[in-house]
Amino acid sequence: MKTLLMGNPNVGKSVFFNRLTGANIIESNYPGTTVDYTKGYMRLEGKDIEIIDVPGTFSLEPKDKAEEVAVKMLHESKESKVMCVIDASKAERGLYLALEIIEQGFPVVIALNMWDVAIDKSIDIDAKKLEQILGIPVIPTVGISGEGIFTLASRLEDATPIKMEDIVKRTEGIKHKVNTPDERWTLIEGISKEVVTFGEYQHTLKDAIGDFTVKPATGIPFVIAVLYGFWSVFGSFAGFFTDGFLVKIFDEHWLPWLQTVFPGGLGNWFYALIVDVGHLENGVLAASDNCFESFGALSSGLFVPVGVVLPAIFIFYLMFALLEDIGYMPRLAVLIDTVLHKIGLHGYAIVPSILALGCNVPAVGATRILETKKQRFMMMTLLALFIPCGAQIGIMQDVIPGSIGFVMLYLIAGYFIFGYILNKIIPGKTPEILMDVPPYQKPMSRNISRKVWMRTSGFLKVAVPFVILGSLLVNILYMAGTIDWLANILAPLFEGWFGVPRETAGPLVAAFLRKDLAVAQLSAIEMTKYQMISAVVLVSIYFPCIATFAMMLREGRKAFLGSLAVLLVVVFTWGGLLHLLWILMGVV
Amino acid sequence: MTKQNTLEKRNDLYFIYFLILGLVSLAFGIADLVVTLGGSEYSLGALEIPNDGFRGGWGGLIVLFAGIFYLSGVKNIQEIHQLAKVIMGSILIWIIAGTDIFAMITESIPGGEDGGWFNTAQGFWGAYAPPYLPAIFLLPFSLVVIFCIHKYYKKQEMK
Repeated sequence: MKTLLMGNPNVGKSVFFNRLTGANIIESNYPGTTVDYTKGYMRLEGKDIEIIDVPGTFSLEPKDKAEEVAVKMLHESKESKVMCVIDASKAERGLYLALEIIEQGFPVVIALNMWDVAIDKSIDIDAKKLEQILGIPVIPTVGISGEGIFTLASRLEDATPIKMEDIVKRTEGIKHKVNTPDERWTLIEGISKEVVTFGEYQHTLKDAIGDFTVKPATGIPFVIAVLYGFWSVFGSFAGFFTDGFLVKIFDEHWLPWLQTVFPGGLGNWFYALIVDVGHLENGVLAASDNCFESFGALSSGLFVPVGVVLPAIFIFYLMFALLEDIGYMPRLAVLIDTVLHKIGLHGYAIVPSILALGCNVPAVGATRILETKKQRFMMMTLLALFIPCGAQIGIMQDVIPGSIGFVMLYLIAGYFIFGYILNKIIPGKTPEILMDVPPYQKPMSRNISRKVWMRTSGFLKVAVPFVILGSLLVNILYMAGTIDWLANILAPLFEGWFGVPRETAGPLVAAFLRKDLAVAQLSAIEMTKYQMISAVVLVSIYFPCIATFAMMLREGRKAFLGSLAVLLVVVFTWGGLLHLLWILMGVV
Repeated sequence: MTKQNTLEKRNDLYFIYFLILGLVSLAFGIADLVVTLGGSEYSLGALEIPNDGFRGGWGGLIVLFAGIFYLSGVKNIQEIHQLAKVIMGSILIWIIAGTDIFAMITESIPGGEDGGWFNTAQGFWGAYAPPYLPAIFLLPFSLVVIFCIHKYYKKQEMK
């Protein structure tokens, strides 16, 4: 038996999915966490039941790509049962979707989720009465604590197809048939009158603070403080592990051990590929004394992802998960909505933008929460160009600690300027959206640890092989003379237009595999502080890494090619403009 | 003394307390920004006003905002929205002071570039020695807001 888990965005479907199947998918309290469907299995009374977590949708008339996926899933699963998850504090809205699904002839069970929130808001729903009217099982649940979920699963077999006429008959005061959305809303109003009672709700301290964090005058200082805290903890934590311990482990123990035990020695091509390419000292090839400069697949190839990037990625995802679970992300979305509208996006574009600061790959997927093709294209392009991933930021903190603020500022400026231009030249709509702001809540340690583990392990699975592969590839290209050839060919462009040494060609090749590796390789090239800033900016706005590339391609070939065209224009203009800035400042 | 009088007296106490805290926070925030713009670090006894753009500039701006939050919420603090403003002022101070204390902890444990794996006892305790940022001095005073929250909920329960 197949069961679809459906409901409005942000009602806790993913929490249900994890509880029912024991799976681990990301749960967040803002819409768009699930932008594609996920399958899992639940064992109930000796039978395996396939559960599919479907992206959230408000109705069966899709308005964005994620909703399209949801509706398509429903239409392709004619034999399925549907577990419809409704936010009990906004039951009417959820009932609209539930009635649409019932109308299509699907057997439905309803979970009145967030029952605790409804009680807090003095909303009382007579679940038994609702069950009588609808003729289907209706169970109050609290997804986060698991309350009611077992009962819900066990009532799944009671779900049978129901005729709308029967529901109409059982609803007092409703006589007409339900054919149009307006008639459906009238029916819901009738049902609501019978089952929902609203008590006197008192504004709480939590509500008052919540209100202040979305009002610009009080919310903006709060955003600045949150970002300050985020950045400060990020730097302290990453520095503690990387500079305090991991640099020592890799430079004083791992590299010398590899140099001792690995056969071949300096000058041997295989040794150079795996352990240390060495460097020239007074014309003599000397061994490297640190993993940043050794460039071997087992030295730099492991040091970059594990020694530098892992602590940075871990703390980034930990803090991001905390902000998500407290309920700050939707507030940030509301606050930044006006600004993002100026470049044709809306508040929820902040979700892929911040996710991209961790890794661009899930961020490209998260662009599906945006309604129009234009918005998705713009978001995908802007994040691939102007948002450095956590891995790159981690390395930047080691390579250009004093200039990282300037680089970020230059990239943010590019994000808004090119966003504005793209919004003007790309045809298409930028609709307004209504945002749900959930109440602040205490973060659950189980959810936080699961998110951090999933995201960090996902990063390691992608990063380690790619960095090792990147180190090998760049070393082979160096040995074959390809990088020198490329550097000479592109010298006028690099030195004349971008104002960086021609040797930057090597790291830019590596950037296609891993941008963190590329920034690490830049540290070995002799250049001025300003050239280094330009080179790091170039690595950021140059082609996205191969994993992001593949993800962008998945989102559609036309959009992908369009993004590449924009990317080429941006690299030349934004990269060249920085050189011009240095010339004007007289620092070249 | 009637209940009304007690409440009024408590309101006056809160008013004076958070007014002073707000003014001091505001002064520290302005001092942070002035020192950062001036370019050279300023120390006075155990107090250190940093001159770097991050701690002095952004950090100073946040302390200044905290002062504004305190001052705007100080009147009739028993009212829910006014109390919320004062709480937000304290949260800003906690963010600045908390991250600075976290930085001290992370710096105090490792042995440093030329040292061993872990710091010496002297180096460890030395990391917590003054001078401190203005927000660290404001931290204990900002915690009084927890008492206010406790009182607020107690009052709500009694209602």
